[in-house]
Amino acid sequence: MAVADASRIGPPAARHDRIVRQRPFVVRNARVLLIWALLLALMGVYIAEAPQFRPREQRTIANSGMTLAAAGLGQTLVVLTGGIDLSVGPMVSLTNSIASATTDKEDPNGSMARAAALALAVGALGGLINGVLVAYGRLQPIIVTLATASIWTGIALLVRPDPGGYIPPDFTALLAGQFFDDGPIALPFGLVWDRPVPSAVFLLIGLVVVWLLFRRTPLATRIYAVGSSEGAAYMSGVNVARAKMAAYTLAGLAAGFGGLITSAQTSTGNALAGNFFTLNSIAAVVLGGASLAGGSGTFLGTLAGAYVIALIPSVLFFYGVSTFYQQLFQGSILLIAVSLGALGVFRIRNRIERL
Amino acid sequence: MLLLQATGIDKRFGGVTALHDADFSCDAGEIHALLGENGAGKSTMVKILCGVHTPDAGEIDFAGRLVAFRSPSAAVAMGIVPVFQELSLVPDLSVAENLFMGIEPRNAIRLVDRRAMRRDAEALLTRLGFSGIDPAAVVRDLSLAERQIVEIVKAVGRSPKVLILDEATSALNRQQVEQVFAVVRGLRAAGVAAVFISHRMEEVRDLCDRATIFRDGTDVGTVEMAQASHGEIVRMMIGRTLHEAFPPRPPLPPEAEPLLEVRGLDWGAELRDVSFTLHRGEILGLSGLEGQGQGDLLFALFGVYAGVTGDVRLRGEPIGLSGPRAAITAKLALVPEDRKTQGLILPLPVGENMTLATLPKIAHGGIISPEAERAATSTMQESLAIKTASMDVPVRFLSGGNQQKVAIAKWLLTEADVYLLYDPTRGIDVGAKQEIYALMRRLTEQGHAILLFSTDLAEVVGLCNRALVMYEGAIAVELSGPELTQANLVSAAIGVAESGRVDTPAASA
Repeated sequence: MAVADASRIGPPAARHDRIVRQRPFVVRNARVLLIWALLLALMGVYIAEAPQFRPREQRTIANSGMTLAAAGLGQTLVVLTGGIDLSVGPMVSLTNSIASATTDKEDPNGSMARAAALALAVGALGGLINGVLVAYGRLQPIIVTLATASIWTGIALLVRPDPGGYIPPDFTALLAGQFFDDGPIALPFGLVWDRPVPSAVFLLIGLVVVWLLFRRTPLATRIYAVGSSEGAAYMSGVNVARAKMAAYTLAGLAAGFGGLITSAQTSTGNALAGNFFTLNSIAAVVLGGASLAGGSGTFLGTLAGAYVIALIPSVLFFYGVSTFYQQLFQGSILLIAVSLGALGVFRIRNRIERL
Repeated sequence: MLLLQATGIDKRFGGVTALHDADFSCDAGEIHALLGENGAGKSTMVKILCGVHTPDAGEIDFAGRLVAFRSPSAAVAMGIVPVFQELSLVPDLSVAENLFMGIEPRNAIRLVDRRAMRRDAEALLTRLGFSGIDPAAVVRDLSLAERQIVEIVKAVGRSPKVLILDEATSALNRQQVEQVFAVVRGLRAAGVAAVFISHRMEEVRDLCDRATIFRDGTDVGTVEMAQASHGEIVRMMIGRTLHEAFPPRPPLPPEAEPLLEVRGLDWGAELRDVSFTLHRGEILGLSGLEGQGQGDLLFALFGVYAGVTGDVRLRGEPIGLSGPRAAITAKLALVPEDRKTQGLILPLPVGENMTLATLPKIAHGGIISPEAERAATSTMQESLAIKTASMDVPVRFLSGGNQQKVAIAKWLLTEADVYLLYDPTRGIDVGAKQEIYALMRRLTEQGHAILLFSTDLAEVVGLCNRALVMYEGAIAVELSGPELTQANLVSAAIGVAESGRVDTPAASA
């Protein structure tokens, strides 16, 4: 028996016991920090180039990305599971149409409260339908949501064939107006706040708080786990189908909330108002650093992505760039952001896994 | 005290019998090894014990009660916790989140109490001797060895009554293995039963109290480790007679021309300093226990892996290992293991599958010539006796053996010099096996050479001129002539594992 050099055989030489540490904050959150840097730069340009920066402009800028942020929150949840939701935009339209059609001028605030509750319920129900079809029907998310997108649009057109309807001004003031309008407000420690704040700022803070709380639920861990490795999640006792269904349901709820914001901002109903948000919510999620393969991403990135997309047209406008170039710029930014995220592929040693 | 007992277990996958009337039992407070050749049924048995597979027949008693697990989590809930080589960790989550997946500590308002989770994770890792791993680290950033440790810690954290370790220490170095063993011995002292599968015989000897040996899908005996000799265990592992006929093997002329020369091939820890020469007309076997680098060697030669170093020459010319396209140009062919994902495009017709690697040859001016295609494919159908209604049938409708012939036909059309075959007869019927053996013999008679990785020892002995036994990425032993026997292959595969471990003073300290 020809025995090879025995000293070569056996496990690799014992490494020193490596101390495994969490990677530094900047490295872990590079993509999210990058998109926030881009957003802050765009906002700087906006403030510098805008003819004026009064409360009105502040309100405009805060409102501009609001619906996209809400739709993006839902899209983030679905993308985290490794899925995609093409029915986000039509759900915004549908809930907007329903809200505008179920209000009553005789009882503006009461009817609006009922309409808002209905819109949110419809959003959640629509999301649940997507989720059941994807998780239990084992259908592909892109097809399921492409079909339901069409269905939501169809229902929206039935509810609101022509743009119109009634949204109470109080509702517009609440979600799309501003607070602290009535003079200085005394704060503790003798401080005084004397300028209006757009209500969108409070909504955004609310969404961020909701996200941070959600991130601490077991459901959030399960959604990340399912998107990162379905097999490992299953082997760890995760109910994979239920986690997916929950993600789609919450996405529908978020889209319903987006529909209410659109209602407030436009004071009207339109069965096609939401189409803009489908692909742009996906773009916002990707700009925010999430992987379309699932398992990684955060709403904190999506939020910045949404406002980058919302601000590009204004900034280009200030520079006198024709609106024809808007799409071109937005697409280029998206490609650059995605390319930066794809650099890690060169660390993979098996060429099959690079494909 | 008997804790877990499986009796009369049957399990079939498609047409393949994985287990037939197999029994296994273990006591509380013992460490019990499962031994056997590749495909003997060890892994299927433990996957049945922990709810991954459902048995077709037989019953499982656990702590005096008849049980039937519907899912792995049901088994875990009752205290049967497995650790597999295929990891159950979620790469994008932190170590702490993985350790407590499904059993997260909650605060007063039912949210995950992250501080408690981190603290508990830290305490658990420290208690088991792995304080070098930060609970906040993301699993993706961990090395394979560290992931295996986290996997074991995760299982221990679920308070198992039965802990199953299926090749769970394969990536660990000596010191890490010792730490894991200390943990397992501690569990044994606390009355836990541990079931241990490892390709390292020395580890089995070191850790286990008893061993049950599996062969051909059933248990053939249980031995006390302290009393069983090495030879006795090897005999139990291979003791079967074989009636498979192999075509006669002409002796290789002593001055056979070297065709493929490999020198000092390295790829991370998976391939270590691999050197050999493959001659014209030769079938060179790759053997050894599962996952010792045999498959990686084939893929590395075909250029699938990035970062491979070493010198590879074909007909004396260096080849670059830059990818399958370059390998095909250099007249290498690889028939991969998995017909369904890598060997064939299942929905495409038989004919198109065959010509996929040689499209430029049958195209004139960029258009595929139907005559050329028909000529190529019908020659192959005849010479390989592929049973198909027509060349237009999607290949997925063919039987396993005929699918494999189509996969091989694709590479025969490239007129390659060297064929890298990855377990080419796994899961196909005896008749088709014979035809593939005959084909391999024909190829060598025509002056081609074959590097054959087979998990079937009879094949290695019956077909090959020489065999290389691999162990942990390196070539451990070369067998040829009368030394090339099944007993020697098994002894070499596990004997190497016994004697080959290098003890360094630092590691044992």
